[in-house]
Amino acid sequence: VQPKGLLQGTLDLLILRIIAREPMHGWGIMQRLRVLTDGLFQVTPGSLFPALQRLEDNGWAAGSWNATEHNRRAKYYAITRSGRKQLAREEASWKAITVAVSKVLEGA
Amino acid sequence: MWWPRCRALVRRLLHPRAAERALDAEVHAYLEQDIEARRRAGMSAEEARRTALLDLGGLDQLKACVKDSQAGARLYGFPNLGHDVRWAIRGIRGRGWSGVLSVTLMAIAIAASTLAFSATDALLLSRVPYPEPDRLVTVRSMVQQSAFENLRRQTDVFSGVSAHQPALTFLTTATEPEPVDTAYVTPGLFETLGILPRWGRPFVDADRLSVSPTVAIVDAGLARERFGSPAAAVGKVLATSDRPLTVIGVMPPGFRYPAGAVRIWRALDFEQLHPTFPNMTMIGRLEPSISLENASARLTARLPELVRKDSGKVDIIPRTFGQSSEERATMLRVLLAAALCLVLAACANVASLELAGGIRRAGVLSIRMALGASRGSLIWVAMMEGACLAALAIALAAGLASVGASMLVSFLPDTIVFAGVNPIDVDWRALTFLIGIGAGVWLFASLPAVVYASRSNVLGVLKSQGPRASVSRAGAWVRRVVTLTEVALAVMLLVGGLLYLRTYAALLNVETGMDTDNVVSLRMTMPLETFSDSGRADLVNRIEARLTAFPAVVSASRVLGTAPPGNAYTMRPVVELEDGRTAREEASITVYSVTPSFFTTMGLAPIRGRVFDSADPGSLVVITDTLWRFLWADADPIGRSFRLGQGMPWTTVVGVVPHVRTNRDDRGGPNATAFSYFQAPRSGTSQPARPRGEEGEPTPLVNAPTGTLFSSSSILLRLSDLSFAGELLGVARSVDSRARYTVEPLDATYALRHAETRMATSIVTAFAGIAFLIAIAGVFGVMTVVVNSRTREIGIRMALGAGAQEVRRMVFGSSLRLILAGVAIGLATAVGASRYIESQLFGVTPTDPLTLGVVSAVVTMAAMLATWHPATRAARVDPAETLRVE
Repeated sequence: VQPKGLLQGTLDLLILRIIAREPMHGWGIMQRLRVLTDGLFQVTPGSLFPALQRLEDNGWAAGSWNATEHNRRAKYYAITRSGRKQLAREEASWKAITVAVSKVLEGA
Repeated sequence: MWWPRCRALVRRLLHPRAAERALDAEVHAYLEQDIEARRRAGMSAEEARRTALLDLGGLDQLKACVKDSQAGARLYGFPNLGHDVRWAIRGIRGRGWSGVLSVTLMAIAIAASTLAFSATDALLLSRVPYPEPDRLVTVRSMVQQSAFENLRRQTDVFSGVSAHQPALTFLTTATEPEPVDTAYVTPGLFETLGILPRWGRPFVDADRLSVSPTVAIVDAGLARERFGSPAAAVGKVLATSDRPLTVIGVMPPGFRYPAGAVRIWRALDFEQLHPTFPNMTMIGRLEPSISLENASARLTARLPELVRKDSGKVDIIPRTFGQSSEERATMLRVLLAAALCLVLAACANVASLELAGGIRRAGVLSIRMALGASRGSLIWVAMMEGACLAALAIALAAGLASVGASMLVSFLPDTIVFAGVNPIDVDWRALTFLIGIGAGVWLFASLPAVVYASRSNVLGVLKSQGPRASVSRAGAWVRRVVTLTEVALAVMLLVGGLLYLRTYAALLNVETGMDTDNVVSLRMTMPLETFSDSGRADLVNRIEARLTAFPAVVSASRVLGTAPPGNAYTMRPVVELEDGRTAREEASITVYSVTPSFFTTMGLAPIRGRVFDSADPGSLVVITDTLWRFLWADADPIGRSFRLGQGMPWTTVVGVVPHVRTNRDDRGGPNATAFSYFQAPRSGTSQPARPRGEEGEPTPLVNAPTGTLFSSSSILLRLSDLSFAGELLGVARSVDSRARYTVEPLDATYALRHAETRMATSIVTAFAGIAFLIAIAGVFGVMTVVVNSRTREIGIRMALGAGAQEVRRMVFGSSLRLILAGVAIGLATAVGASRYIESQLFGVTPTDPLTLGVVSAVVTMAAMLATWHPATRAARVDPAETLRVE
């Protein structure tokens, strides 16, 4: 699935979910996303970085520079308190949507 | 959510480069991680870098993507504020002369309204510059020195009581002594007011108790003029014609107590004073815990010990500061309103220019939209351009206003400049007003262009072939409304200006009742410290003698105190007549004390009886026609007596002269004037029972007015030619240079009475002139646009057989409709507003048909002239040419 095919806002939700476990840098988020979706979601840097920027501007994620496991410097994104609230909201609404959509699909 | 976004936006606006660097670093770190991962997966170093870069999809595009998602991106769609400002400046540069015109116009209008505001602020809104002004009271009492000391001891009532008195100090200069308004004050005045000298120290009791105090506190401006800086002035010596004064303190700039003109404060020297302190004002500050009523009650209870006199009385009333007369308040409001009208007209004009510019650039807008600029970004740029224009205008206006304020102060009559407790200047309040008005101008002026930008649509413009065809109907409609407003405002201001002009002309043309051509008054001010009573009388006599011998002097006479039309002793008395009747005067009665030659000098011939003779006793009086009619109606007044109230001396009428115009006549009811016989004292004779402060014999008609610490006298001179007036000053100074002399043609004195009206007239007329030009330019502009937008239609009409004449008529017709509508609205508003300026007018009614007619005709004609060019262009449209283009 190409990024354009992703529902708008979904990417933000996924990133929030990933950094909710532990702070993560951009590259790591991308890898994690690929692994978790079994390679189904191939997010390009062109959508990743704007999304990170958006999360940070909204105050949902906070970035800080740290060393990576390979001793490089990278910007780690950690979820904030308001980020967690947003995540909860988004998860709830996502679940509601999927339930609704699958009901329609099965019922039709 | 909006708060973090705002914070991010602000952070990025403040540090645009830091945000950019951070993104750079992050992307590079990402790239390195990616390359390393690929190498670990077995790629060669080169291969890893190449594929990683490829996947990244180009650094610049990536950065652009990120910026699009940044906070505020949708709002302005550009990387940062600097970029937008550059865009806006480019847009403004592209405006060329129209941009310069817009900025200048806005700046003039903003500066004009700021000046009107600061004058209103200083004179009308009585902002009191002293702490806790509601605790300040005026203490009214006929006080003697001991009583004043007693009052000061009532520390449970007052935290301070002080007295002050007007005086003059003659400062020594290279040429002649310079009289400077001075206040004699008791030590403690500054503490009572709550404002101390900023440099040096205030007065202490020791300053006063010395027999002749030689210390002074001066105004910051005076200190700067004389000693370079206020700080340097402390300890220096001011040379005066009397005795040198040591400067012990300098007041902060803007300190204006008790009057704006006062620049020197000297310790009150009781030895110098008359036992009953004429013109003394007492000011007290109440104890914080006491109410006005309680204070009053306590003082009344202690009256016997306070004044030690049965008839003594002490009143305290709240102190008021800088109250303007209703007339002046109205004038200032009119000026402020006129300035705001001008601002509105300027706004309308700039809005119209901006809109025209916007329409011209419609093509650019659409192309930018087609290339992906959001509607928001176009609006943002339009607003930024407006903001840049407004900022330029505000900066220019601030400069104009501060220069204008000092010009205004030198242009205004002293009576206005020194009237308020606050100086007329561009202070922070005026600056706030300026910026507020500037912001308003920005909103108004950029609104149409913003609305236009927000409505522009790609298809509409790209479908049509060029910018000319793209002139939208909406744009033309807005411009018509704007032009209508401009014409209406111009008509309003012109009506106001013309009414003021006619008022001023009417005031100047009022008959004075005297032959004032070639008459000058020489006013002498003699400081009491320098001249004794007989010394003053002697000086006036000597100068009169010298001037009478001067070849150009035809006739000379003397007036005690102020000469006509000045405010001499004026009262609204109960007049007692010899037959026991009393008459309550509706108008006021002004009394001038004159020598017999006054009537010759002023060309006043009696219409009944005779004028004074040098052998006459002092109990005679010459009255004006007005007073005669009032007192005795038609009965012959000669030989009858009257007195101005009980206790006044009886006087007998010897003659009647025609009505003489004085300051009291200009507005309000008629004023009756009486001339009492002033017998000039002979030099060297001492005259007992004379009030201190006035030179010469008290006038028999009234008890002498209270004197001041300086004394004045006037000599009226009829010259063979006014050009000799300049030489009189030299003659007077050669007799004695220790007094102040002013020579002024009497016509100028009369004209000066109307200085305020003249000022209002010239300001409103200037505003009206600018508004008029704006309106005419507006009509020209809108008609040009109308003709441009209808070129095709005109071409078709002409192809169908319409002649040049018809086309011209059509253009003139549409212009005329617009103008007449504007004139009608302007006239209606002017008539509606006229009752507010009615009290300002003289000799003309606010709905004067001639004024309204002339203004309508002039505006209509000028606007039709402005239509001439567009109409002619329309008539020259070549149908073949127009249709071929399509």
